[in-house]
Amino acid sequence: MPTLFAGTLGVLIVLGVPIFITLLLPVVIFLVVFTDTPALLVIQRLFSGIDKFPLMAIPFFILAGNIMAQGGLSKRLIRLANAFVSPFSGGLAMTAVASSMFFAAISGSSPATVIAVGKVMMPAMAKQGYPRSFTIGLLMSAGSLGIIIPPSIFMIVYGAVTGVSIGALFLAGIGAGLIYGIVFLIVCFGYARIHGIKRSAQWDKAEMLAAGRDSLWGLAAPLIILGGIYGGLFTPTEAAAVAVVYATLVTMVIYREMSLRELLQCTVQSAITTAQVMIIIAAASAFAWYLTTSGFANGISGLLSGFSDDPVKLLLAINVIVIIAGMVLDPNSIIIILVPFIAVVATQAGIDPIHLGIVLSVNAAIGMFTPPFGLNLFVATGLGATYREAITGSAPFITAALVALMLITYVPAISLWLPSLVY
Amino acid sequence: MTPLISKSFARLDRAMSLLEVTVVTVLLVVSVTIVVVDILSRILLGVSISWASELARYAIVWMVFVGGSIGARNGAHISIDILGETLPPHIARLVLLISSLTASVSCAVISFLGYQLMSRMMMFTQKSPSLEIPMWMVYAVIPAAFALMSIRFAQAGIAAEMSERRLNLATSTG
Repeated sequence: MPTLFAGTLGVLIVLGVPIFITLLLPVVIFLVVFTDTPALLVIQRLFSGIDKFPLMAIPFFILAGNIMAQGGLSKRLIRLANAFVSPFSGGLAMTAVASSMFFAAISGSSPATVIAVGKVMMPAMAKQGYPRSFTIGLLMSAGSLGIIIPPSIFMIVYGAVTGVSIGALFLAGIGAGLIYGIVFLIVCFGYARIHGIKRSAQWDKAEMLAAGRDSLWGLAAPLIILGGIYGGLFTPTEAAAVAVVYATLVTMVIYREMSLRELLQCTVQSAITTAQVMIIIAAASAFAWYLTTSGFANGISGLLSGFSDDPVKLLLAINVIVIIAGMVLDPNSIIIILVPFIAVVATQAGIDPIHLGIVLSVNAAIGMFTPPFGLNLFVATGLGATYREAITGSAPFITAALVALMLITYVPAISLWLPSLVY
Repeated sequence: MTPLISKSFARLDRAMSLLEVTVVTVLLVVSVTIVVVDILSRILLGVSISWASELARYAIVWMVFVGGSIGARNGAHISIDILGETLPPHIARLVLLISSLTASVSCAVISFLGYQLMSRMMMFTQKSPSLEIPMWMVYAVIPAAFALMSIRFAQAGIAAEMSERRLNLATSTG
């Protein structure tokens, strides 16, 4: 039976059926055909899976991110990153990484980061002599920072599923995101040195200052979001709603680069993006419920509980399982489906739930650009690369990301130091 | 298809799109607004609005399912498009047709189950905790939105088959 279930799932995935249908259809079929459990319960799970206030931060952060990106903020952030890092060896590639970090801190979405940064950086890096597969690999991997750097949708879902403080997760993500980003910066530096790509610019104090002043309003956004949460002024969901109001004011009143019409378009766009993300969360909740009631889940718990007395091996096993799952499923489904089992065993082994959340987010980030199914590989084809180029390009960055993963997994202080100061 | 029929289909398509887009926009704006008003009222007046979070939640849940219908029409739902990237175009189109129709039938089934659940809820008079709306009304979004999605997935599959007349995307995503 589990084999038949997994087989149905596999066929639907390969056919390219939307993921939320892939998760729902086998559950409905198996409930109707093989059990007495009423199929109506699936519908209830579908609704209750997203009827949670913490999850309402998702549409709000997506909307705030879209408004800032389209209202002239992404180009200012790229200018800022460029002013500071482009004079290094491999500087232009570093600009892509640094812009992705800034952009991730604003939008919280990985595909959005790849597209927004990619549109500007692809032509610029081609002119500088970077091969296209390297550029694509870089954009896909740096774009996955969106999952680690706060505000992260992944962490919101993890917090909603496990009850771990979303605010603490956001703080922990800063350290991990920095390490992850620095590893990529080193790759850029090394690549440019080895392949003799020449430097593009010199440091220019006036430009650095001007770029800094110009993007000040954007840089203040994460401070307001995080400050509001840690100051106890509002919950993460409320902070996200405040971010929407802030983004609207900055782009419409201060920058004056957004008309009411464009704001409406942004709203529609954000609603559609939210629907894509959250309908999968709804379906994954129904799927997770079915795994538990049907007993299929026992296999997964059994797999992990063998490691429960050894946190080092357990973390390694979790990393392997989640990376493999990440090649086939999107990050949010993974948390909803797997975390209930993983969290129990991890807690027994004495692993801090905040640290676990960060390790999982780095795993999910790597899964985003790992062949064959990493989502960013397909996002990259939207930037004009072929699927094959995307796969070739991802290889060096997967290696680099695995190094970062090991550091973050086995040095918990990277994640836990900042939250320990506040909580 | 005769021009007349295709014209009326196009008109129906536009009307549906307009309805979907209006509904999701209003719901998103309402939910942001009520959360912000609640914060302001709490900080400035010291009064929390008891039903604010419930309204925001229901508005977003509705938005997600109705927005799912826009995604179905535009092919914007997240899927793993590995065959489409590697197979020759005419076979890839066939695969797309099969997957769209699978999605369409699945949505029809879920819509039907949702309708059964809603009818069962109508027999009981359970109301939502703060707003006190009958729960069957809140759950009505599932049969309604999944019926829409079923139509939209079928439409996307057929549109891909007749790829020369691919529908112009009123609200493209990307």
